[in-house]
Amino acid sequence: MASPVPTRHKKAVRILRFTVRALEVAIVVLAILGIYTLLSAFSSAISDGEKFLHLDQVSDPDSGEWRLILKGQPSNGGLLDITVSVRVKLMNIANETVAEGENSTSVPPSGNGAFTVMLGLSREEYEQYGFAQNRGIMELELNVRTLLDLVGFSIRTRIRGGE
Amino acid sequence: MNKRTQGILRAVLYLVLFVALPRVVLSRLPAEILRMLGTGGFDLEAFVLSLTISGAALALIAVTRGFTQPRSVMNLTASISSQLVWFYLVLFFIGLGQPWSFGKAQITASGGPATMTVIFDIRFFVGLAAAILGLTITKMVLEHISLREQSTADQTE
Repeated sequence: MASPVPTRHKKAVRILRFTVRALEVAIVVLAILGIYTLLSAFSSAISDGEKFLHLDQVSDPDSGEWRLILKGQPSNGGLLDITVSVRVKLMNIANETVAEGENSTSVPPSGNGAFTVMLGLSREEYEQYGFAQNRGIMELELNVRTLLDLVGFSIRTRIRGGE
Repeated sequence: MNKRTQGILRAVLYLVLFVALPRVVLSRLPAEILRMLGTGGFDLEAFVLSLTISGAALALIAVTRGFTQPRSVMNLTASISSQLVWFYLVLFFIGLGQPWSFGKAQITASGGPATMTVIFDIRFFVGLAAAILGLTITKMVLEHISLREQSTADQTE
């Protein structure tokens, strides 16, 4: 409800009232755009499944090197650009990081992006850190951000082996 | 409708919306949903209690505003308090019941060897809401000063 402002603050109050209204409209419009885009990204992640995020492990028969390869081709059905970033961490049972990698891609509206993260452990490391006995820990973090990376969500999954 | 009736009606509306309604919904929720929310680390009782306290505060403020003169300091204090309670409610809903996360809400669920944490980062909107709050309070103070000046001028004439 607008109160009567009869004196010298009239102009300042009018400007403040206008600014508040403009900010309220901006917050509603940006929230709708941002949330719609994030929800679209989230539903693409679920419906695309393996295409959005695909995890593979390979062992080099010659060198014995073990590799964890994470590939993704996220799509964006939203109205704004999104940035999808992925971080993978391998830890030993003492929670010490033994290998980590990350990558990100920017996806325009109605477009696709691509990223690859590759982690490698030598045969000695693979056995030393307990991965051969399925006793290591893998942490996977997926970040999706929009609105010039100002808003977003992240999903962090931590899987402990040997349980 | 005069100011007092408006204040009372507002207070009743806040009590219905924030005190009675959440309790009715809570009492009618299936046990399965309550159990699911509980295992997800969501404290529904605390959520409803926070809403009740906010609703009671808003009702008290509405009555105070209705029964005080617009140029009184009490009225200004009540108006500012009302804005602060609404801002708290924005933080409360954006933070999924954790207002002091300031827009960075976190939900953790674990099952067997896996733990999944979902983090929503909407601090940008909290920043915008804080800016709106600051400007609104400034506007209220200026309006109050002007009203008092006008009142003093009227008395002098």
